Amino acid sequence: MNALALERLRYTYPGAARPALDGLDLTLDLGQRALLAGPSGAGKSTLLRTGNGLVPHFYGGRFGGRATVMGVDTRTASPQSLSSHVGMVFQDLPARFLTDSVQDEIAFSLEVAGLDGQAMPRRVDSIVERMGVTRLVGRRLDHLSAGEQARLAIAAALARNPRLLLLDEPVTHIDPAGAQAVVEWVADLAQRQGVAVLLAEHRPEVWRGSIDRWLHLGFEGKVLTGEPSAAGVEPAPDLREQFAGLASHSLRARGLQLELGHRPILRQVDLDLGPGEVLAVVGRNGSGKTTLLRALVGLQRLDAGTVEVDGLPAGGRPGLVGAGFLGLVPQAPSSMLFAETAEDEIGLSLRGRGEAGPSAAEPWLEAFGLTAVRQRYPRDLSAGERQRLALAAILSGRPSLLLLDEPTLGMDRQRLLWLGRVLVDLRKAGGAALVATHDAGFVSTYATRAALLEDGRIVSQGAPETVLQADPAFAAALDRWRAEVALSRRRVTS
Amino acid sequence: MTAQAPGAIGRRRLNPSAWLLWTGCAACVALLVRNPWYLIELGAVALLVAWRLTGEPPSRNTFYLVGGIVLTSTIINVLFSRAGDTVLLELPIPWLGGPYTLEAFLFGLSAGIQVATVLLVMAVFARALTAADLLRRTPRGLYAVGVASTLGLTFAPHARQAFLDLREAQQLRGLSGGWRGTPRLLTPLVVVALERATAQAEALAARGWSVSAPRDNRRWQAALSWTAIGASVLLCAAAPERAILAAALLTVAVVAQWVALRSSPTMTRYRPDPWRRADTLVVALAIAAIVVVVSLARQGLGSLGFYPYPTAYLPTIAAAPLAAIACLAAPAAVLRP
Repeated sequence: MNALALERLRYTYPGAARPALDGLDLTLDLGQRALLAGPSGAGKSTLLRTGNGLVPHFYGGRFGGRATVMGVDTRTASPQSLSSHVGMVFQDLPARFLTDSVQDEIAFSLEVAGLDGQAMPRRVDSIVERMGVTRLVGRRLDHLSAGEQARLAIAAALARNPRLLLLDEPVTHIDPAGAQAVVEWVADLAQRQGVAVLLAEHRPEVWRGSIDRWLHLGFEGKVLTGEPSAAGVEPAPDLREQFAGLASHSLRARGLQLELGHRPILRQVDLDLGPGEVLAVVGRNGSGKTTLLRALVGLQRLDAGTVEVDGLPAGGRPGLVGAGFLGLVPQAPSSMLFAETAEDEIGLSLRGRGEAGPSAAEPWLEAFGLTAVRQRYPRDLSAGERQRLALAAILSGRPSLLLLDEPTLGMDRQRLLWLGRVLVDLRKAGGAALVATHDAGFVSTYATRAALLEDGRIVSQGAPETVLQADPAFAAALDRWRAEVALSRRRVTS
Repeated sequence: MTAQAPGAIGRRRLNPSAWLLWTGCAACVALLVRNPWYLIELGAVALLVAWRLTGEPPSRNTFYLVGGIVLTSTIINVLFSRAGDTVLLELPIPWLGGPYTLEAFLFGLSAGIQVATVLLVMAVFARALTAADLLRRTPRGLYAVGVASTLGLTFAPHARQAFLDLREAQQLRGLSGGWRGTPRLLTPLVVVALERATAQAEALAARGWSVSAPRDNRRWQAALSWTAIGASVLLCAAAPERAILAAALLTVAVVAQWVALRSSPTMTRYRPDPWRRADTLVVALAIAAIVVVVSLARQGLGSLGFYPYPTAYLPTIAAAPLAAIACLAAPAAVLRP
């Protein structure tokens, strides 16, 4: 029996002008693992949601064609009844947890299903053990790292022994070591328990070797078998004009120390960032990267240490951001968007520096590929567009020291190259960037220097490749990235 | 069951039902009392309980929020209520010139303190309970209400987090923060909080919780019960002397709810929340507090109320309400840090 079968599926969100999925055919057998790639905004998440009936039951809209899960038609079965066949792991996990402890989270679906109270503890314990989340037991969910949250979410999705597992970018936020563990675990599930897995993912290299089928969803709303071709390459931005005349500044941090809730987060961190540099701060989840960036711009108060820009103390106040020295783009960039339209969003930054006029935003919109959506509400844009808009909004304030927190999350390789171009242009204009990331491929390609952060301490600093080799998980991720690059080169030449 | 790491999960230390009752009593007190001294005491109690619950002292932003509410309410009342004997300022400008009175100032101030106190109490509630705690206590006959109140519960903390994120983002964009920047935050705040509430609703549906109304006769049971509750409230308000009839209607409502509750299986329980002596103590003291306040209110509001019109006065303090409100601090005493 097919775990999932979609026939001529056509779906339009309520109020949308064109269908998100259009005449789509797909079958997935039990035990199969399929990876769904495609540009952001093409409808990968929508497709996953047809697998458990959230589309159309939760969202409404117009639904045509047929979707069956284990032979059950999703038009007649509700998401609730389908939940016994299907487990789903969403993006943005912290917002999806319903309880505050690991066991309760796993038990929730069992409680809803009305499993006998006697049998439940045994069932929960066996899942906890089998899924290797024993050491998470007893911890508060908001204190778990991204990798731990992903493991727990998968464990909870498996509580009712589903035959189909839908994963929406399950390893995006996880560092290479954690990601590898999740990948192996998913592969094992499919092999040993015959669970069908459909996962949406931007970066294939993590899953290579653990996937049986490669699918690609393009903007035309149809699923194609095979990997995406290099066709839809986005044009490289040219920001030389925008960055012309950028002032050069340098940043110097010494002896940064910070404790949060009696836990040391930063220990004696020294950092230098000078004009023309791209410094990558590499580290696993929870190593203190985000806190470091926040401390550098003054969002987080330091217990000890100094931050200087051009030799002048800068610690403890976000004033330098306003003055245009520093710019920080946080991990979830949509929190940065305030205006009514994309155009206004950039206008807001431009007015801040006294450059008014409706045409001033024009070159920025064009360079960031946002001209077509200039009149749209920023929070309605696709994830990729929001990310670009937030970057444009910060960069149009012309900071010469740019701080980026995990900028490559959810980016496919094309987009990553695009971001790299932006950094190259910034660097050549005399600016500098500090990138906190666990993306080994990005670091090796675009950083001029790297520092490895472990438990709040910088344990290695120097040439990117050397630093990455210092941590076996990053070294392995770098190898996978290289293999991937070589593979796509071969594919282009052949 | 696996042993829990000591002190790892702070919120489990009181039974969720005890938290529900505590919140109910504290919120009723906050709504009944208008004397700012008592309200300030209750607000402090709520902050203290939240502190013991989370282990984190109240943040600066909490005080900003409270200050903002009190200030807004005061300013609005001074500007628009021109009643009162003690004129502070009167300018020879038509309409805008006043008179601005001390009474209007005091009334606005006490109203703001009341709103802020209710919020502080509800903040404890939102931090003490999870979405699942509420859902487990929702009879299946009341699906829609259960889901709506759960989303309401998660909306407040999400909105708070979104507010903090947005404030930071504003600084990062180099936009003016503070009061002038607040209007710019409003739309994104609502959008972000709604997005997060929707995310929870979606997760609920995917995990098998049915959001739709129940089928068959449970629907009319729920409808009957709500109609009866509404009718009894209306009757109480319109004709207080017919209290017997209202009580009878209320009984019908309770019976209907009970039947709805019994006629359908609720969620089974993974591990029932234990009811300890501490829970009994907290609930007993909370009920004592509300009984004292209600009985004082029935004898005429006395020092509980505060109505500075037409002539301003300093609200008085009596021992009984102070002690009653202090009883609501019981969770802070029984929660171990």
